[in-house]
Amino acid sequence: MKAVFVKAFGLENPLAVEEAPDPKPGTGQVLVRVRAAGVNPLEVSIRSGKHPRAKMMKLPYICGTDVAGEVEAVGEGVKDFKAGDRVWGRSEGAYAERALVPVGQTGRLPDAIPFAEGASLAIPLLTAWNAVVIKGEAGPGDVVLVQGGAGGVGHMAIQLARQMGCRVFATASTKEKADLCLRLGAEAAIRYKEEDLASRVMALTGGRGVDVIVETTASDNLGQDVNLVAVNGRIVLVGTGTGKGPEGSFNVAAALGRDARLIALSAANLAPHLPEAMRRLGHMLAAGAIRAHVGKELPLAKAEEAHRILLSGGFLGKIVLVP
Amino acid sequence: MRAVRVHQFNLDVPMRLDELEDPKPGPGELLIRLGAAGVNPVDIAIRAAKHPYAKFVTPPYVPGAEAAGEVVSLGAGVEGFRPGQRVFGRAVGGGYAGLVRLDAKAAAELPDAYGDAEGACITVAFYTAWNALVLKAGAGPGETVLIQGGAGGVGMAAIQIARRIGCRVLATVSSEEKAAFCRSLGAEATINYREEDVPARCRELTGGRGVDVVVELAACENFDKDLDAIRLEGRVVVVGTGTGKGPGAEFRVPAVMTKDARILGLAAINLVPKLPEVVRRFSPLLREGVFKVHVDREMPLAEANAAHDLVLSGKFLGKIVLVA
Repeated sequence: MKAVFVKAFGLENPLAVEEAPDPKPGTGQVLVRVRAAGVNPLEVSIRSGKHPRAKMMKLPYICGTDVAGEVEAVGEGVKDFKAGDRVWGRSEGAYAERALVPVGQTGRLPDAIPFAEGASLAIPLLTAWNAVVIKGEAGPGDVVLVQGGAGGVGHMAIQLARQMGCRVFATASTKEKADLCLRLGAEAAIRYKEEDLASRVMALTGGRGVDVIVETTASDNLGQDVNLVAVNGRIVLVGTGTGKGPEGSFNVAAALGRDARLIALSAANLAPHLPEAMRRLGHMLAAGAIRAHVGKELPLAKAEEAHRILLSGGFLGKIVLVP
Repeated sequence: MRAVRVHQFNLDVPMRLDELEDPKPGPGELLIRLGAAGVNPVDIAIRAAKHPYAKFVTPPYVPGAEAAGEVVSLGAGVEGFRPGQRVFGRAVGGGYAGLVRLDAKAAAELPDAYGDAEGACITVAFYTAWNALVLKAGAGPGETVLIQGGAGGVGMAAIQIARRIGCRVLATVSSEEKAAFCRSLGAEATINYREEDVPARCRELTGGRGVDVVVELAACENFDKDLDAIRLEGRVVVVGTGTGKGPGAEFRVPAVMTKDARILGLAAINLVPKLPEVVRRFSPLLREGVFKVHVDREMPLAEANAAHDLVLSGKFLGKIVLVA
């Protein structure tokens, strides 16, 4: 099969498209014929060598995490899936024609959802779930600010929070991105390059501030976030910002004055929660309540170009590779 | 003003429409001209002296826990309201009257999408459902909620709130008409409890797992069955005994233990200190205008006795209101 390899850390070293042996499903694994692989800031960060997870990767490795496709074969002990099932899930080696997915990280993909959208769920939607539901503990009627609303995690967080009955504000850099946020259900989309975010947020909340911030660009925004939350507000650190970081700073006194909670998360630590999260999201996906916005589809061989576009920020929602 | 009064704790003694002195709003209160007053099972239970709140009133008293109408005047210290504004909320000192005092902290502007009759049915039904689902059960997105008694006031509200916060909803009903009503409010499936095995259907609809949350409006009859309907660590919120039922319920203690079940009780009076927060969080959802408030009958204050009989009969959908 064809697969996209990282052969050396550092973004100056291009990804390599090469032949690789077809993987065989082991115990508790599902072999997926990949129809789409999602492109996430996570794999760019690991590839750059800056992400803590880079230390655990042995070169060369197949890049990518998010897949959608059809089950081709199942390993021992797998009862819930069979060949031909449409699925989505998390793999170690997604940018390939075939990928292995642990059964506990495999979800059923409803017929109504195209593969490209299915490949946009495992990292973006589950990270949004982690941020909004598990870490942010957002409840109905709470106000949620999604910093970076038009990105992969951001556009899922807007929809999820809306489905949960939250009021949602989002930030965006361009009019096109702001429009996407509004279409997905944000009550307000704030163009942070042109508007004063703090005064808009305070005007929209009667001076109270927001209950939860989903922060996808913490290295740039954390300093301001502590001024935007209500008392007992939660700031969920989802990412540094694509290609940014690792540093960030904030005014400790401002955080103290609000009993603010700063909560970090990582995709790896979500693992024990995945079965429950995927089961509960399964109902919402089947009902069509949450849809991925695929801004760009590229062939697998153009993985390098896909990473460049991701780093530029010049896209809406998700970028997907099609083998 | 004219007001309905209970003269004896006894359902066989009719309430009377009396002429009373106009009330004045106390500190922290709004005075409204009645548009409509909600009729709730709790009003009847108090009148029958079967409810713990009966100790808070002495006949003759004006019954009724909620009302909607136009603001006439503001009591001392009240901000954020103005005369002429359409509002709804929790009645202080009785809602079945031409002029009603509302607790300003628990009152809110009524969005244009809703008439007075609808507004008079929001506080008890929707805030109780909110208390059950959000504050007690902590029901979250993608969870399955069973509403035991879906076609009454709280049931109507609970189905819609659960749906709006991303839950799957199952509801129990006693007739096809009530089933259709619950489905129209967003229930994915309805279970006729007179004809079907409710716990078995719940397990079937959840892949054998059981439901995450039960909102139980008739605990005296259903509580034991609820223990078979929930999943491991499921939550049962006990909202009511069942109209005219109670107070006892029999259940298997081991069934609670083997499920690690969480049984959560609630009472309207304990929600009072939390009402400002409930109003703040619920109001944005109400303003969306998607919640349906089904008013089955609007009856004049003079027919308050007939309204109570109708609520006791169970032969209505959603809510009954009294109008001036």
